[in-house]
Amino acid sequence: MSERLGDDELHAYVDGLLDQDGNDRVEAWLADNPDQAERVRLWQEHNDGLRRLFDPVLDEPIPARLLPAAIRSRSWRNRRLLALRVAAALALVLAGGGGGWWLRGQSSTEAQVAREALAAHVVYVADQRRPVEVPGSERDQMATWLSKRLGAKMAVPDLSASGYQLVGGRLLPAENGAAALYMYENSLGQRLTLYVRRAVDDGRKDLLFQGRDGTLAGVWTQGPFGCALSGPLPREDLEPLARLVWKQMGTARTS
Amino acid sequence: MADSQIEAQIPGLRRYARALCAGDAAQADDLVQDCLERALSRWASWRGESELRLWLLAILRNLWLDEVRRRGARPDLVDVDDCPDSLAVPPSQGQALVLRDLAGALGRLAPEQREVLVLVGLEGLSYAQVAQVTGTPMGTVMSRLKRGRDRLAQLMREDGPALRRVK
Repeated sequence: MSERLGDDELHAYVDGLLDQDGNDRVEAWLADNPDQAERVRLWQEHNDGLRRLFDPVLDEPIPARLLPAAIRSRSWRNRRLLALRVAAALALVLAGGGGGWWLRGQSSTEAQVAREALAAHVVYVADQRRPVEVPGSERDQMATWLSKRLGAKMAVPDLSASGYQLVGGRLLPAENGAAALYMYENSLGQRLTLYVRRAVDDGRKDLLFQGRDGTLAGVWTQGPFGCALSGPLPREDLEPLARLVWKQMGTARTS
Repeated sequence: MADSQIEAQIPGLRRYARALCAGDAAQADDLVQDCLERALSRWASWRGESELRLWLLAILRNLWLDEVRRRGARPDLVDVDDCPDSLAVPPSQGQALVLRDLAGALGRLAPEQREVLVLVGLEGLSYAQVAQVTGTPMGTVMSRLKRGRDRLAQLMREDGPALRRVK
């Protein structure tokens, strides 16, 4: 009678992981050890049973919701839902807020710019297919074109260091002529817009805020422009971004 | 392109998930959906370092274990590797394997044993590949396989009507 085989070898035999010599050795040993042969037979039966139970799944048609295209659009919707939840939470904060820096109910230049900016933000951010006229890849041509239409030189701020990539821009009608709208997006699909139009610099150096339906706009005037950066962000997140844009726009004006 | 490569893996992932969920098709497909979502969002991090199939099996397996733990569906909190072996008594001859019983018994195995049995017996992975997918040392894989098989045999005996003791 041959030496007792270890369980490792028996399992490897059942799982088809032995070479021919190994298989022969195990089978010869099992022929002399019916108790062990019964254990092994049971394991084989269970392996076979698993395949009989679950192999038919391979032939089932794939549900549409599992196709990569559906997954992609669903995950995009999920990110949008997340943004909406953030926005809803923010709206509650805004409803209860109202410090001196809020523009609610004012009729100043900033309040007017903020209203226009928020209206544009809401309309174009929701547009999945054509949110911009000019893609971000044509940054320089876009800057030239929109500067010309607004009648003053303007650079396109770069927010990539803060995680927001330029999606592109478009030309819009404003109360007093043309406006430029630039759109940015981060990896979570959150979108910011920068709205710029001609405005009289009122000499205020404040960044002012206006909120509407969960979107917050930080507004300021500089040089010939009134500017508003809008997004579904709380003030503490939006403010540093707005100051960054303010600074970059300021540099552009002197160039 | 990620989409066609991943799409080719979907039937296999569905089979694997169905077995992990012991036949619960809706729960299994939800797992596959979460797995694909995660895979597509992390496609750039795959870089072909491991075989695509093993990468996806590992993602799905981790999601499944998260869910099992969240639901508190672990049969007990004892480390399965510390459990004593149950004495495996050879079953009666000629016992017909009832597939429904097998699915039921599979669902009652500790998750760590169930996944090893499924990866080996259904997915046909080598023990080294199972160690890779589960992030577990080879020795642990082997001991889970052995205990899992013995436990499965025991559960099948307990469940099998043919083996009920007549008084």
